[in-house]
Amino acid sequence: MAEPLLDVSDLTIALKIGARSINIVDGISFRIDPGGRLGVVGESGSGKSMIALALTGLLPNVMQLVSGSIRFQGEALELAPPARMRQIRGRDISLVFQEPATALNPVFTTGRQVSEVLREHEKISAREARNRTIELFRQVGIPAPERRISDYPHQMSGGMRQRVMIAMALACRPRLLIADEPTTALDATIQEQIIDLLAALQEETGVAVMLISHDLPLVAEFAEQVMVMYAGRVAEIAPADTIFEAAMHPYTRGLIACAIGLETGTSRLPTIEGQVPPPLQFPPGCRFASRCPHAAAQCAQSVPGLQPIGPQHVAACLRLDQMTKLEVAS
Amino acid sequence: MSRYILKRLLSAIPVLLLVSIAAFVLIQLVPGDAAAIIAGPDASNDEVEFVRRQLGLDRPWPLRLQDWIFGLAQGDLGYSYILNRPVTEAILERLPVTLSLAGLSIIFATVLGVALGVLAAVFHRSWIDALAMTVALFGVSVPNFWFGLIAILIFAVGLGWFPPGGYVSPTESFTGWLSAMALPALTLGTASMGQISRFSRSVMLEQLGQDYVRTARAKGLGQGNVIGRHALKNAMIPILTVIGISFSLTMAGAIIVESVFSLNGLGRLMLHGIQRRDYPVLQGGMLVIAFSFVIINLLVDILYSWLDPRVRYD
Repeated sequence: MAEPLLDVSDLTIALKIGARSINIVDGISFRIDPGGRLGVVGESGSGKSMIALALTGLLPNVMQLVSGSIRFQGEALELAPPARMRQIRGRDISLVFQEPATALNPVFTTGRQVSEVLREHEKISAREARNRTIELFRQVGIPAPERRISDYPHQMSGGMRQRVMIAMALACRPRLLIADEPTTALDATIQEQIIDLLAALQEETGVAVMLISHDLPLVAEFAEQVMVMYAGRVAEIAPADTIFEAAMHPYTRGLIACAIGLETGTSRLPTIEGQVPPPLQFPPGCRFASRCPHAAAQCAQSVPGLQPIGPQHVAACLRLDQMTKLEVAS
Repeated sequence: MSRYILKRLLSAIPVLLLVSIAAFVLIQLVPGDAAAIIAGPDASNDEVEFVRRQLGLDRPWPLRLQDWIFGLAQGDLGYSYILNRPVTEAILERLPVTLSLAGLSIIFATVLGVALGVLAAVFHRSWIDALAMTVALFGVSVPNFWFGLIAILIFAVGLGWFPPGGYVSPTESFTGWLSAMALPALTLGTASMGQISRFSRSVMLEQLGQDYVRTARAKGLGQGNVIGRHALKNAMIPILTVIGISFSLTMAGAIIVESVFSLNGLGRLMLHGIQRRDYPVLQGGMLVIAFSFVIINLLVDILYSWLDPRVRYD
């Protein structure tokens, strides 16, 4: 197998609350191949955004990278000094955030905010940066780019702003693009446009993409691999094209049931009862146990490890062997 | 942008007119007979009548208001019988002193205040934060006449670095002017500095938590760029308002600081005006100070539009 672009293993991130420390991301491992597309799915509070921040060395002060390794092109990012991380950020790994309305600085022109990345990482003239910015605007589908580079964020629509964010992220031709809920703040029709744009740009530039979202169908449509997270742990990693049939973890199945319910428009939407427990109330065993329709006594006590199910397919559930039967019975 | 500035300039005109009328009304509100008060307790009836005629107080008020407004339009603020010279002349002579004092103290308060506030926010909850906020609290709470006296004692009398008082015109000697104004400006600006730094800290803390700051970091920009450019430009918008407000504090404080440093400025002129019931001087001084507020606010508005594109286009 080829050398992965990004190899994360046993990543653990703790939230410090006074003297206490809770693992809000708990022993996560995954990899992304060069030019690969990984989708990360989970509810809010599942820790998916924290992974994105940890990969770029941007964790807030109250969060701490406790253990695990992040190998990016063979380099140990968890050990990299801040100055090195600065070089990597925006040039090798770039980020697109959820809310383009607030992620752009309101007092600078959008063009300037894009050319700024270029000028930071590549020693180029202002004129050259301007030309490249116009080219990038065109590439992400912003009409009349020569004019739009002088626009301020408030003069653009949400979709246009997100295109600016993507132009910014792709400016230095990174190897990895992390898109954290890039469409959540947008209208449904614009959502699709942005995902299509990401897919097209991914093919064009060969950048690897990690797409983070709470929307399973959206992620499954875009990604090659889907990683389902629950309360800071991996529930299941499966190939995107088979996840709807082959999902084994009760949580993934719950998500699928919700998604299919939305698609077919059944009168009563299926839901997963309850909510993700807050970090302070994480149970000692399987964190999904309290909401799981298949939970048994053992689930409350022991933490499930990832079990291989098929090629590229793993799930973390203590009752995997009963799962197929259980599903049929119910 | 230029349309916005033009609009602002035009909207200042009615304000200035209102201020002029308010200054006129002030004299009319003097209890009792203004002419008798101005002429003094020992004046004869003829003298009082003379003063009354000179001040135009024998004419009906609409005519007097008309004279006052027309006089203003020509830069004529009336005549002071106590100073025995036109008020405009007396004020123009004193104005450079007060403008130097207020201007330098605002510059000092802004530069140091914003710097301390930003440092405190960036190093939130560290010893730097604590130190900066101690300095700010000191600035807000120490009375400026006391601070001025101590500054004279240490830096002028003790160390001999600066003159203890007096004014030097910048056209005469620029360094002399700076050195003469250093202690007064420091004294006058300390309170504003404290206010500005406390406010800057809280605004900056808020800005540093914004999404666009995270974006700037995600681009790989350095700390200086993220804080000094991205966050500070946004933070300066509300800070500017506080700087504008603290200018009024500065004008009021100028009266005391000019006395401490024996500077013959507008503040002292007005102080003497109050003591000697020189109403034309008070009226003129009040008007000039009000005008300076209007101009400062206009400047603040123009700076807003420069800092914040949303103001420009809305």
